[in-house]
Amino acid sequence: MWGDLMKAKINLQAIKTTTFDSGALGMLAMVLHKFSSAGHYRVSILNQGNAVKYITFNVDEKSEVTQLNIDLSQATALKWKARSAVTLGGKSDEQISQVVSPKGYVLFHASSGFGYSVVVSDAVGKVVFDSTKLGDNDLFALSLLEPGDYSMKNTIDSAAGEIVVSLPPEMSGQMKTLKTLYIDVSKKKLDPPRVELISSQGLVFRIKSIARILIAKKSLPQAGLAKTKPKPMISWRKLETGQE
Amino acid sequence: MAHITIAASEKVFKGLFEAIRDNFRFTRSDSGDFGPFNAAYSLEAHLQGGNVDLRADNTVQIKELDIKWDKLDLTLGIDIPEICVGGFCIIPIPFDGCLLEAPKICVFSADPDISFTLPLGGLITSEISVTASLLMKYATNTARPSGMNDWDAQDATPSLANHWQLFIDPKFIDVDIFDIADIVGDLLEKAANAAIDNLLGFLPDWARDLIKAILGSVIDLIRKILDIPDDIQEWISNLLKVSFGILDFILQLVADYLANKYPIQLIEDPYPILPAANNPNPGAPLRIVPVKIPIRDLKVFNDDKEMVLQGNVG
Repeated sequence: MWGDLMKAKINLQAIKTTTFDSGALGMLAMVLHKFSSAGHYRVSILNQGNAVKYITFNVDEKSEVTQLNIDLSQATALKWKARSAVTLGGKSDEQISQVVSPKGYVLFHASSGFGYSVVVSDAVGKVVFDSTKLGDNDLFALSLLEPGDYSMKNTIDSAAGEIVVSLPPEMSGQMKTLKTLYIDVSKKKLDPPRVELISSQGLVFRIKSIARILIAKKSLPQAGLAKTKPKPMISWRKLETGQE
Repeated sequence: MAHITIAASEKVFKGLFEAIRDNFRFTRSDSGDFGPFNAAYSLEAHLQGGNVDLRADNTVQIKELDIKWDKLDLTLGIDIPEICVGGFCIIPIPFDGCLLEAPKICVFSADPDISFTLPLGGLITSEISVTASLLMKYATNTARPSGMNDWDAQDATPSLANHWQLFIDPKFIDVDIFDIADIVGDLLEKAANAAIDNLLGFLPDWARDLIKAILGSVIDLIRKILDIPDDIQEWISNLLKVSFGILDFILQLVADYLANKYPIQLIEDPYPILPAANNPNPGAPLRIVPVKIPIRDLKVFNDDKEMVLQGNVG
């Protein structure tokens, strides 16, 4: 450590991401779906709409696992308990023994990159989940970092709202205490339509109607966080003399 | 009865001491790995003040001898822990934790290092006290060629004469940091903040603010990493005293300086009692050599009023 100090290697993508799309996942955004029927499922991982990988998982009533995280960008790096690869349509199809309880959720996210979506089929090939069209009881969760005003919209039915993200100085050291906020997404409605978040605070959309949620930053950082030009301490103004 | 007795008042003795005190300067630097952090220091210091007291028991006491830290830069290096976002609870279980949790995304991909320097010179007050006896030593000039007589040795440049040397021979030395200014805590926080700002300098302000907000109070973070207790002054004091042993070093240095390196007085032997002069008598030689008397058995002692040197001629 002594001598040449290591420069901070910052995950700039995490810092710079200001658009979040439930149908095109990037960092800090995730969709969750409950697969209530036991069985074998096949996940098509798509990037920018193109299939790039196929993986599988099992839903087993005997399982007590309530959360299965699938990192779409690092799918092959997941610690599968067992794995065998077969070739399917030129793409890798990985048989996995990872299981989740039918009472649990599968969480799809991307630890890097952007534009990821999934289509999940059951054992007979029927599509049971498409992350570009979230349905009843699905969840879309994200974390916004950069302070500012964001628009939120269900692109399926155009329901819209607003998110304000701030980072007050008094939150220093208190970030772990932030409670997750929720927005219910029903037909043509986001409830509440406006939420105020602290930077990095969790936000979860509870889907009640078909939805694809798009969040985009629309303004510069809020005053107070942006560098504002200070007022001069001393100013001079020439006095006008009245004409007599 | 001694052939020669020379006495010097306490005031004269103080003058002799002040001369060697003002000549005493030291520098040192070192570094160390202390597990969760590294530290290094660089110091330059000198001595100032000091109350000199000749005592009736044939000892000399020097109190309140200040160590003036012209420079005492303490550099601390630490790893900033990985900083992650996400990890929030998606579906809580009332009163029983969390059913679903978001994965974390780490903003730092590795633990980066920062280092910051605390300029402590001027903020630390240290003091030395010495109890000593006076010591007379005889020093034969090692550079003097064998066979050279005392007169030629005196005339050589530099002089190659032998000397009696009067030293302060410490018996006890105490050295301590007894005060570190309160502002050292602020200094630490500002220095650490600046180091983190520098590390994250390429980020927008809000991202720096966010990372620092996640880190929490920088001073709390630093305290945690460095395992600093409530009393930061004591921690710094222990680091300097115990971990680096700066005071032990100074103690040894002062003891060696007083007892061996710098005598407070030199007395040439043989001692020239009459300088060289023109021969008042006609004829050769035109100049007569200095009159020098050899001094032997030179001893020194003191009471509470004066220092006394006694010796014999021969």
